[in-house]
Amino acid sequence: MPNVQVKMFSPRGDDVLLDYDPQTADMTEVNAFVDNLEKETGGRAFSLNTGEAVEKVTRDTQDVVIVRPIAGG
Amino acid sequence: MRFINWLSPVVYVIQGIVIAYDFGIGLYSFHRHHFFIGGLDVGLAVGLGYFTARSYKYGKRIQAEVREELERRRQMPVFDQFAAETKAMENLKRVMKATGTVGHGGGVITKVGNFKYFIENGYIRKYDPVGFEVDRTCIHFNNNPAANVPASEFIASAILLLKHDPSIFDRWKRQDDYYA
Repeated sequence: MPNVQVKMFSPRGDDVLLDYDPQTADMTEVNAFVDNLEKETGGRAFSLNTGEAVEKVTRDTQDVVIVRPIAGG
Repeated sequence: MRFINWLSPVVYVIQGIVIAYDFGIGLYSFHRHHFFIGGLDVGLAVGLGYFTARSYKYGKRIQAEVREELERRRQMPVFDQFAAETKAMENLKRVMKATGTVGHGGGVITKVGNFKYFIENGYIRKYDPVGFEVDRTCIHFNNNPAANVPASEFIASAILLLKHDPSIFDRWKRQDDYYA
């Protein structure tokens, strides 16, 4: 199974912030990392495969993208 | 008084010669041919040799610094606009596929609830189920300071945010004509 990436849109297209193997990774750490990113950027995590917001990253969650708010919204 | 008036130009000339001598200008500047290194008068030949060697050494050092700087710049990653745009477009396509969004003209149409939104760079238009435009908001994506990303990724962000919370359109509406 390919690695899962946590990305953020950037001027370079996107920046991969975390790359992990969903089978072996500690999901608590992954969730803490994503929560921290959401707090830092004021953004929200979305799944790139389903387009839905990700409340909690599980082993089935595919690539995650942190979307920053637009126009202060 | 007359005598003094006659003498004053002479005094000025003498003063000028003394000053010129002190500063090493003019005919009396022979002392400039003496070079002092560490307080010792080393003479003309040694002095010139020493200063030439020192200049050569500094020149070499500057050359090396310039070479290092050029090498550092050569190794710096070059910003590839084409690669960035390509990656951004791939991400937008992925988001469009995931959310059932279709491309239209220079933008995309996404359906949220009963409404359709046409998102393009500059405007987001809201259409009712019949197809009439009911509302629009103006956001210039390229000028957003919070997310300096390619326009296609900004459209992808707008799709995801709208799908997640349609009421965000009203908040954008309140900040119509959003510029950086």
